[in-house]
Amino acid sequence: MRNTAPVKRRVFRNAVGWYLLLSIPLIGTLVFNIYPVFKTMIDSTLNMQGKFIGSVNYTIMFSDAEFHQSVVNTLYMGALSVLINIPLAFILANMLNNLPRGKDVYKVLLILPMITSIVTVALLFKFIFSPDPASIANYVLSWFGIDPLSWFSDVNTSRETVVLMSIWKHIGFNVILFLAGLQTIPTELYEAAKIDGANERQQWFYITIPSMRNTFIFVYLTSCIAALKSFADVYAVSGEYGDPGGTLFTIILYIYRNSFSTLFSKDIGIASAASVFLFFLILIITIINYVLTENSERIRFTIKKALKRK
Amino acid sequence: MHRESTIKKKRNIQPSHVLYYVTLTIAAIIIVVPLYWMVSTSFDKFDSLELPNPPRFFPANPSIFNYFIVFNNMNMLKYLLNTTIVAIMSVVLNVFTASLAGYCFSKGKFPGKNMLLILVLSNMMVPFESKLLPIYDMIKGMHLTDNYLGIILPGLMTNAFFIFFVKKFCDDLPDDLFEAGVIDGASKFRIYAQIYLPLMGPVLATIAILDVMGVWNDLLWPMVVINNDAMNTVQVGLAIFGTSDNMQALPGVSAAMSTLSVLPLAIVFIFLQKYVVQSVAATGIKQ
Repeated sequence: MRNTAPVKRRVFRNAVGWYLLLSIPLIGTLVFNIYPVFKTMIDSTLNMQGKFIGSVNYTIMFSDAEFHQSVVNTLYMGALSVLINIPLAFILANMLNNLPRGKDVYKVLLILPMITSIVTVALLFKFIFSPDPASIANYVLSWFGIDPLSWFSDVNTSRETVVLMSIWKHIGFNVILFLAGLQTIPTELYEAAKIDGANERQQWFYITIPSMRNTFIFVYLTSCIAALKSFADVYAVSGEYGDPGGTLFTIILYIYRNSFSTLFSKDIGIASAASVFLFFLILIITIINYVLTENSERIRFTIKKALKRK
Repeated sequence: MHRESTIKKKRNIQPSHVLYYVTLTIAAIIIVVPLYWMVSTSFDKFDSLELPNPPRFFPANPSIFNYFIVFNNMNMLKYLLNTTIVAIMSVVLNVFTASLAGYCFSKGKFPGKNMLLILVLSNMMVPFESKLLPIYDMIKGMHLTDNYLGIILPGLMTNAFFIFFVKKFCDDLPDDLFEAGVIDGASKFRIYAQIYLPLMGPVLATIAILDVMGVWNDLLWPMVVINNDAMNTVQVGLAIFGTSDNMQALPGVSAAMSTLSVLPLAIVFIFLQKYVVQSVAATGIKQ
């Protein structure tokens, strides 16, 4: 039997070289990802003195009215922004795709808000949407004969105004994503459909929309996850209070208030519990994403095969 | 047959095209107006706290008075400096670590590669906000609060998205180059540094742009990790300004501060527009 030890040693030494080069990301992942996740979970079972109290923090959290409000606010603002942002971005992307000239100009203009931070935008929008009748928003309303609104300061419109702000900031980004997706649809599909006598609307429904399934799901899920993590936009508008009337209080704001607040009492255990809750919420959504995109690959393949057969 | 190809390139204006142009122009106006108002207002000296009615888009009293107030009353210069340093540090370090890691996962052959890849990519799944507390405790334990390194370290260690990007790009680069390097007796690192790294230009530019924007605009982490105001970043400064009671009511001053916070990225943007658009598109292509 040949002595395989030298080969094994060589393979081992070779591998060590790679491990060494990867040491930074690996250590980083362990220290800044794996460990914190477990530590947060453990912390959520401890009380303020570090004693183990099991699921008490969760019980407190789930019965806390402020927590309920933060979840409701987060989900409401998230749903609203996703429902408006994505269809609007898709329509704009389609229009952009069909322009004979000037695509690049519009692309650059629409993506301009990317250079701003959400803090800058909030500061800006506090003036544009100021309750003052002379603010730009109210001025525009006056063109349509509508009375000035209080926008951010009114409990009935504060969340919608935040959503408006978020749409303004992110629409360009989504338009570019959709545009990139639209441009990957092979033109042969459209030509084949045209030969078969399909008009523009049919082409849109049967080729464009199904082909965009992956992109739709990607944009939808990244938007959902970003909405769940909403912090900077509401903090910049209303500070820690989540005013007016706690309508802008989001889950992350709840975590922040319980861990770093200088104005309210802190409870790391509850903050950790909320972090774990958020983690699982996002995990579930990410898994749904994975499952859905796995299936869609087969659908696209079937479409292509069907057309090839013709 | 000849007619088929000309049908694709209609030169005459279709009514649907007019609709598209109008809609897109309205959208573009809605996007641009707030930014334009911001710049115009920042150069306008206001007499009172009230907003002019109807809204002004050309400064009635052009001056840089607002900027004087900002620089005199806030550490804006310091904030800008801090954020610039942090951004440059982050981009340089991220580009090198992500490209090295992406290269290893793409060209390397070692046991457990797939497992380690999944491990590293798991970073993408966990939102930073859920790890906020332990990471803060760790950074505090390392005495890196109020420190530039403390600001960028968590992001640097969890940049799985960039690593994934580089790996995908590297997969398209030929393996023969690696073999050639091995034959010439180069170490793995040398093969990376002298063969593959120079070829990674486009993906590195994408990472650099995305990272600069992310770091410049980040609020939560810098706010948490910095206690000494002199080390604050621009966004934290803006947030403090916006939620404090004194000057935020002055539209001119707020606009000046906002314009300053946007200026560096705006300059990057002007010169690299095409790359920015490509970077955004690239983040979606992976799907």
